[in-house]
Amino acid sequence: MSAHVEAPVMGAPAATATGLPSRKLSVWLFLGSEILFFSALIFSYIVLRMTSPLPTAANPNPVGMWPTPHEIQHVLNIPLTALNTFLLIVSSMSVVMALDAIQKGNKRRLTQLLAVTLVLGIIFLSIQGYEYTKLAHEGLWFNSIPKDLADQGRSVLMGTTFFAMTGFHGMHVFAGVIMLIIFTVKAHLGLYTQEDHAGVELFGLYWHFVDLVWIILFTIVYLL
Amino acid sequence: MTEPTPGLAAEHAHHGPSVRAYWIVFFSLAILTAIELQIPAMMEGNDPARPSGALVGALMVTALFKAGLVAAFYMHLRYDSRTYSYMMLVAIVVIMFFLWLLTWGAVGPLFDLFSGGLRAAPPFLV
Repeated sequence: MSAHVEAPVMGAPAATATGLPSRKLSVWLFLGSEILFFSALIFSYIVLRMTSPLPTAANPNPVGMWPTPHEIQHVLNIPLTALNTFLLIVSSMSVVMALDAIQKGNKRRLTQLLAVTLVLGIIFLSIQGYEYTKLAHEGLWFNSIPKDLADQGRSVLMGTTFFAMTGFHGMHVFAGVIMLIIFTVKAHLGLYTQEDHAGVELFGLYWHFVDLVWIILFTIVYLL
Repeated sequence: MTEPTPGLAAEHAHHGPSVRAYWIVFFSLAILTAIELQIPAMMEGNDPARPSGALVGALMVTALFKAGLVAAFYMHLRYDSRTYSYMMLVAIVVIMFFLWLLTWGAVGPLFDLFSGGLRAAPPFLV
């Protein structure tokens, strides 16, 4: 047995009983709870949609019927939301490239790529804000749907679930943008090094998770 | 004697996806998103009130595949300790169990997910 014990890397998190870094394990546990959180929202939407009345030959427009995919897609701006989806995918790419840059010791590139991600996050939120404004103008809100759909007896729960799911996701992006401001400033100050950049990696996990949730939400809310 | 604690940086110094893998995943995600946008037009069902089972299946498989790519490569689950994957798996299994309970009697064949209302509660809840 050697008398010499190598000191842990500066800033490196302590290992847990599993042998895994404690901070990283904590982030994954947090993401596990986030899976439960978003799943609860998504499954509420699915169950509410499934339990709404369906049209019959005798009653083609039952009260409380869920808006049809055609009616929903007529209200929602899918090309604009698809652009937002693409922006998040690009931002995920810029985050992994930022991590790759600092793993290779390139601090300048780390700062640049985090700044790019920050801009993409702000654009995403701006587009979502614009979309919400347009939808509110057309009558789609937490407790209302456009008048032509309301007149046909369509369920207002569509608006409630839509804003609950996309709104909570938007709040996660907003939190990510705040974190990105901090990480970009820290990167600019040279506080991350090739040996100690755990914060960048852990932030990346969060940001990719937000991207992953949007991939699912985009399909369920906008395309189905 | 206890081994020194490896930092996150040290953990990734020896393994992880290459930049080429990141780009392949990026283009795959972009192309799959473009395809996804075309799927509803290609598979429009006869019933305007609800999406067809085939449409639900095609879109969900595509979305889950995209999500899997992000988790496996961008979140490094394919390269990291399996413990992280198992933790996520537990969360997914728990939530799928609750979905199964919530949709009891309504789901039937998997792809008829949106086809009808709840018809029966689980027998042990009645």
